Amino acid sequence: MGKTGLFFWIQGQVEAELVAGIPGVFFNDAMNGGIPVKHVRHAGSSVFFSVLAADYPKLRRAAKHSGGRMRIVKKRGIPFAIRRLPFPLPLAAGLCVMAMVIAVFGSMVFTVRISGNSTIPRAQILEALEENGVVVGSWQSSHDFAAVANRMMLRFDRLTWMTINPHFGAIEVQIWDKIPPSEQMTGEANAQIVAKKDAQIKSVDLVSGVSLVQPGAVVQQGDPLVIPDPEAMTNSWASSVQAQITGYTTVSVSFDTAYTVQQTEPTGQVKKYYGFSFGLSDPVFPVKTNNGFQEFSEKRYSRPFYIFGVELPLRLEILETSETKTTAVTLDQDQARELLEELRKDFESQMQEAKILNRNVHFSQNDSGYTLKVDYLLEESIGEIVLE
Amino acid sequence: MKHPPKEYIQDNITRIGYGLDYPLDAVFDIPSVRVVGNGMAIIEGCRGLIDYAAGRITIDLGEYSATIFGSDLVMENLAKGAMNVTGRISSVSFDRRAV
Repeated sequence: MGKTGLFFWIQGQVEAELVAGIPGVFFNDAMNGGIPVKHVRHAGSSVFFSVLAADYPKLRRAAKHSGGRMRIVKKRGIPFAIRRLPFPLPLAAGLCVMAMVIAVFGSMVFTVRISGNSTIPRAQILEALEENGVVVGSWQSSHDFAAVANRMMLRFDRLTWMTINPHFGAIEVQIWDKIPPSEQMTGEANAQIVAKKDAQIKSVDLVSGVSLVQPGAVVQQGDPLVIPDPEAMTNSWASSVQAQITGYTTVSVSFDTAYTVQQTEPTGQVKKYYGFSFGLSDPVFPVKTNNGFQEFSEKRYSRPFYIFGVELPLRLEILETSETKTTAVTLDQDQARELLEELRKDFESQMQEAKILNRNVHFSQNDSGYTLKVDYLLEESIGEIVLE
Repeated sequence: MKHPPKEYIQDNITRIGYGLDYPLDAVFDIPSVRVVGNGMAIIEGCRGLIDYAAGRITIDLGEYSATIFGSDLVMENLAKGAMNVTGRISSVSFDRRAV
């Protein structure tokens, strides 16, 4: 069959009139010459037809053979539309290229957004995605994201559910972690829960098994707290212990510092380097080694680009190097206390499982330097499963 | 062994084709004219255009010529081997040509 109307429009077509001449002879010559002609029609005494702009000159001989001549009535298609544009061709070409680039980038995977992961590191998820073929720069349409999500759920037993949703130039991985209750102890058959440290029992929340302690009891490390139910053991092939046991514990921590410490301070001299990164690719920076600073610290941050509210895979990366100077500082008592308090706050921020009920802080000075001794009263899970 | 003439083979295949209700254009390279309603005619295997007037299009089909009569006849696609004609088709006639 002949070429489609879209092909004619892309190539550019002219609508022409055959003036005088014998239509049968003219169109027969066109057919024999392999020139596709469309929409041949009579209008009054004239015959109109459409032909590719490039083929129009080839028809002159056929028109002459038919005893007539041709006249262009209208020009249509992309080549003629470009000529009629009110702005220069390079601008139109640039707009077309930009539209194509956006369309291409939008249908590829350039950014992987992961949310909801609290136990599985981002790097492991990215590695698993890569094993399933979902890599930066691949086409979104080439992946079956539902199947990839199923495979990843089978691989990570700590996942309750996950979805992978493709967006413009990015995929969004939403994860629901399987977080076991931190104080909840689940045991195998013939296991028991023992105290993992000296404590006073605060509460016993028993799910299965028999509790040997009551709230208020003082236990030592290794004391049994919950044992399997003897009846369940005799009537069933398996028995388990499961309980949530919290207790009050104490712990002492010391933070030390010398009289003289090395202190690094910024001098105020800052140099910035700009680069770009696409998706997860490493940012490309200009040569940054010759920054002129003997000592410096680096800080990197990035700025995303948005178009119509959609984040593009392109990011502006900024590398900021600040000159620093290290000097020996002799601490007085206030400075030492301030420094040690910061260490204490850092330490406490890392205590996730234990809840601090009270603390006694004692600041002292000795031959080697300053010491901050902290006695904590904690509330934490004290149960530990051991096999009999 | 003497081979049977080509016409003999073709006649027999034609008979078999008729017997099986099999379209001949599927077996031989025969031009076909398919009229869809009275608004469209699809011609395949045409060799050329003999005549084109306001209410009449005559097409070269080799041994035959087909003439499509009607009004507002438009040749939508005109290419060697295939052609589409739209309009209000009133009749189609076939004439044997002197080849």
